[in-house]
Parts: sequence; C-alpha cells; structure tokens
Amino acid sequence: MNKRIIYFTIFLLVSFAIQSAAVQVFGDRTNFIPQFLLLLVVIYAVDREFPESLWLAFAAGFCGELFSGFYFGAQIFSAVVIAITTYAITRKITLCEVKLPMAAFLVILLTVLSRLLPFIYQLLAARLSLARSIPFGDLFSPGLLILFVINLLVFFGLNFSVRFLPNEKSF
Amino acid sequence: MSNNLFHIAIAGILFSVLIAMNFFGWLSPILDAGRLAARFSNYPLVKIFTKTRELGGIVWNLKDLAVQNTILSQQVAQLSAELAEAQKAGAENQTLREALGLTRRSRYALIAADVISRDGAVPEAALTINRGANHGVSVGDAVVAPEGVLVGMIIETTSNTSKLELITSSRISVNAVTSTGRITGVVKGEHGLGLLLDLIPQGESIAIGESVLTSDQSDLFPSRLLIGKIGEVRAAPSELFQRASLVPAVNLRNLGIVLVVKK
Repeated sequence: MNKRIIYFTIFLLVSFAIQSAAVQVFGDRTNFIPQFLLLLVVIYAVDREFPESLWLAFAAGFCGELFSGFYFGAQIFSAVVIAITTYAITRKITLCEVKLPMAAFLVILLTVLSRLLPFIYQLLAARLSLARSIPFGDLFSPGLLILFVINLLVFFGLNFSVRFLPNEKSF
Repeated sequence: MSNNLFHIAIAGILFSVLIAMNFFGWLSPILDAGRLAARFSNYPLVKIFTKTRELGGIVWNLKDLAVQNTILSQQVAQLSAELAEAQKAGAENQTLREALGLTRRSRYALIAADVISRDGAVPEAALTINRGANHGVSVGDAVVAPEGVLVGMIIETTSNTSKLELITSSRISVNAVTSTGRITGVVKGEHGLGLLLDLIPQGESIAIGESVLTSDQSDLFPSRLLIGKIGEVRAAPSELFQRASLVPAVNLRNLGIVLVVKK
C-alpha cells in the first residue's frame, strides 16, 4: 500500500475522530463545530485528481453516516456532490493559489450545500415513505454565519497541513 | 473524462448497494460496529474536550458566581423543607399501606445507556444510545434522565444501539397532567425546539412554574414522570383551548446518560 493511501486514511480517520468527539461534547452548539470531514473533501477536490477526491468524499460521507440524523445515504450523497462541484469549479487553480476570496467562496458553498443536500435527500426519502421530512427552517439559521467563519479558519489550517502529503499518482 | 465517469458510475453502484443493504437491515451490524469503534477511539478526545468545556464554563460563569450562590442557597433551604415534608408523607404512606394491606407498587426495570451521538444540525434528529436489542431495549420503550425526567422514546433498535426520539420532536405527543392534578392536556414537541402543553380547557387557571407530569391515561409512557414546568401561557379567548409553553426539566441538548424504562 503506498504512502499516499496511508496518509489519506489517517487524515480521514483523525478528522472523523475530532469531529465526532466535538459533536459529542459540544452537540448543543453545533454552529461552533467545524465540519472537518467536508473541509477535507473540499481541499482534496481542489488539489488532487478526481478519483482520489471522489473516493475520499465517499469514505468521509460513510463516516458521517455513523452519527447522522438523516436517512442513510444523505451524508454520502452530499459529500460526493460537494467533491464533484468543488472539483469542477477549481480545475484551473491549485491549492497554493486558493486565496481568501476563493477560500471564502468554497467554504460558503460547502456550508450551504452541507445543509441543503441532506435536506433534499431527506425530502426524496420522505416522498418514498422511507423517512420523515425535516422542516426547511430547522437547517438554516443565522448561526450558519458563525459556522462559516469557523469553517474558513479551519480550512486554512487543513490546507496548510495537507500540503505535506506526498503527491505521487496512485490511481 | 471517461475515467472520471467510470469512477462516478462505480461510486453510484456502491451507493445503491449500500442503500439496499440498509433497507433490508443488513448494514446495521456494520454501522453498530463503526459507532462503537468510533466511540472507543475518540474517547481521549472526548475527555480533553469535556475538560476544556468545563474550564470554559468556570471562566465564563465567574462573574455570576455570587448571584448564583445566593439563589442556590435559597433553593437548598426550600428543597430541604420540601424534602422533610415528603419524607414525612412517605412514612405516613407506608404506614397506611401496611395498615390497609396494600402491596408495594412495582418498580420499572431500568437499562442505563450513554448517548453516543446526536446530529446537532437537525434539532428534531434522534439521538443514538449504546444499548440495543441485545440489552433488552425495544421500540416504544420510554426513556428518562437519571433525575427521573421523561426525555423521549425508543423509535429504532439494532443489536447494540438504539435511536431515541426526544419529546421535543413534533412526532411525539404525551398525555399530561399538572402536579396538582387540576389540569390535563397533551404535551407536544415543537420541532425539536421546545414543548407545548396543548388542549387545556378554556377557563382553567394555569400557574406559571407548575410542574407537568405524564398522566395515568398514557399508554406509551409510565405515569407521574416529570416533563417540565409551565413557562408561558398562551390563551386566546377565541380559541377552544389554551396552550402553555413548558420549560423542560432537563437540558435535552446535553444528555449524557439516560435510562430506558422497561414495563
């Protein structure tokens, strides 16, 4: 197994451990907990090849399913769509070229899609009588602004850390 | 490009397989194992974050310590007096029961469980606890906090975990009565954000701060479990019934340990 896959796995599991621990302790203040997994998905989608980004997103989504309140599949669906969207938007730039305006745009996109996509998925599941729908207003609140700022700060931190990973092609 | 589409197609097929497995319940053991493994592996981080939160709470609350101390001292004095009265009433109750030959009321069996996850993005989302069918938990079991306060109901079980729907969910209704027994109504959740005591007859006088308990008429929940206290009364003369918002007796967003009640 090459180093890239090992680092890929370690980064994913560490992000998941931090996020799940934070949610467990600070669950009543969700808007202050950065979305480590999805930020990692976005960073990989900017910097890496498409297959690697896609499968990281799939794995991150599956980790998110373990503690999700949505019908199964919502987190995988939203992580994969976020990865594909980010990859499509950022084809002409590299991670080093992501400055504040682009980073802010990506983080806003991530923050909004991370609520909107599971809502749409849950709505579809409700239409098929597999789950109950969730009121739209429950997912969107002024607290998202705080989440956006915190996500942006963590984005730069993760962005800096990921640059140390080896960049050999593995797919 | 074709390589990308190939990977998307494979991911789509895998996603469909997982959805199907989940639908038939074959994914439950894997998800259970994942949750328990995650709980085990993030335990050190949970400890660190808990200490950080406690430290932050201490620092944040320093300014209010003197005021809180006074309030708590008054509450302790009041509760001590109430406790003495309750103990006296309990002793009299026991004496009268023995005199009349009544048997002791049966107690419920309780299964202690930890809340291992919550999806904070969705206020109405169910919590996950680390007890499941293998531990005797069943769908429909009531769940209380260690203080004896009703917090919700089990809606789904797997072998080792279960999903707990909180009473603040709009999908749960509880037949309720005030502690004095004067007023009956139905407690409903408000989309995960609060509790509402509904269907209170017009003309009933509702006291702010009065306790609300589960009534004897509820088939789903044990009777006389504390739910909360009356917070605000919403009475419109043009409506058939009054309503009152309730303050839950425990912080439902910060549950750690809960007890599943087995009948």
